Amino acid sequence: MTALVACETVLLVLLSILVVGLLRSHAEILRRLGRPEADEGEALPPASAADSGARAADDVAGVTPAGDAIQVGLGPGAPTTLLAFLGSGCSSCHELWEGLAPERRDLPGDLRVVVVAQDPSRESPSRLRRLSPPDLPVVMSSAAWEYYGVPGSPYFVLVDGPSGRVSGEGAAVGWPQLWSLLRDARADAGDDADDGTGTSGAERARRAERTLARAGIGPGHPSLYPSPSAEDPEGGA
Amino acid sequence: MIVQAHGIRLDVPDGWEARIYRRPHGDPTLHTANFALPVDDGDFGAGAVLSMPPGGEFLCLTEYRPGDGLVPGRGLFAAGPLPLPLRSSHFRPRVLHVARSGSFGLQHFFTTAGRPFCLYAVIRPPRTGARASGDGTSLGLNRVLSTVSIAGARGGAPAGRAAVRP
Repeated sequence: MTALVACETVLLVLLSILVVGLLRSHAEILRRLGRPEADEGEALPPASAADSGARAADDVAGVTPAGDAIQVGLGPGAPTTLLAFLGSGCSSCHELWEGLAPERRDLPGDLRVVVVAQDPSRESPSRLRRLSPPDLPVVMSSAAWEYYGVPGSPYFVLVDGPSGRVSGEGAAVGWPQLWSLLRDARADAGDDADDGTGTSGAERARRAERTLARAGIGPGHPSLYPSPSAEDPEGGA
Repeated sequence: MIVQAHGIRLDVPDGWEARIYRRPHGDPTLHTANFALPVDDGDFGAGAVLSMPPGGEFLCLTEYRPGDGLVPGRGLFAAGPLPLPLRSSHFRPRVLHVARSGSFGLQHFFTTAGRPFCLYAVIRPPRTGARASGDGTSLGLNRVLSTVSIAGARGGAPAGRAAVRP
């Protein structure tokens, strides 16, 4: 009898520990999903530009394959620019170099393209002169490779003109892949585009959540899931 | 960032653009501006001036080759570096290589470091009809010009400046 009671006691303790553990993890989940309700009149910290995660672009300066000097400005207000990090000895870059030729280039008219190669100490200026499109700036700058964290060529960085921030980047070994990169980057930039009220899409979403929370409407509230109505014109009456 | 080539060196402010180039059989030319420069342009920046936005500032520094009566430090090129600061009153609507309403130009021929140059600057004030906010001494061109240094000509001439502050 005593042994039975002892076993039951041990089982109860183990079950209690299990239940407490489950309740704590549930509370943690709820804490991460939910947001604190703001008091009336209390403002939550505004979203900063850094919240978007987009980093600032930096001007690209160096020498050209012809031995001239150049600096390309990429601050706010500059044209939207595609930085193409290419090499003269890079076999994967071959198709991309060919696609940049004036007669084959098919890029949006408002997009400025700047080719960035490594310094003359790491590149062949004479090979670059043969590959370079005559109507595009080509800058030899290892410092730019370092700033933009280029892992290797070919690599592309899209800089949004109005904000002067990087809006997309990635590797692409062919033009279809590059087109996909550009399309995604521009679509993402559109999601965060200013709606004319001076706020980004992310800030508008946060503001909507705060307003709903103050009204007592949280995830799962019935008002968020409209039911079919007798007055619904589509349903007819 | 420091940009230098063909014996011309300057510190280009963030957001500005610059080119220092020399065409085949030609002489060094500097273009710098606070807006995007055309990839290909005339030596006096006709394309840049035509595309200049309100608030734009453009500077051209182009070297001339001695010979055929052109002597460094004499005649048209007798003057020395341009005195700074530039003021809006120094710019004139008719001193433009390519005429454009709302723009004002300045031109200065000089010799420095034994090399003859023409300095050509254009501004387009932010407001129509205005020369510049204030007297123009806050022009970015003043800061840029103060950093331009020019290596001496062959023959050992000392380095010089395109513009100097008193």
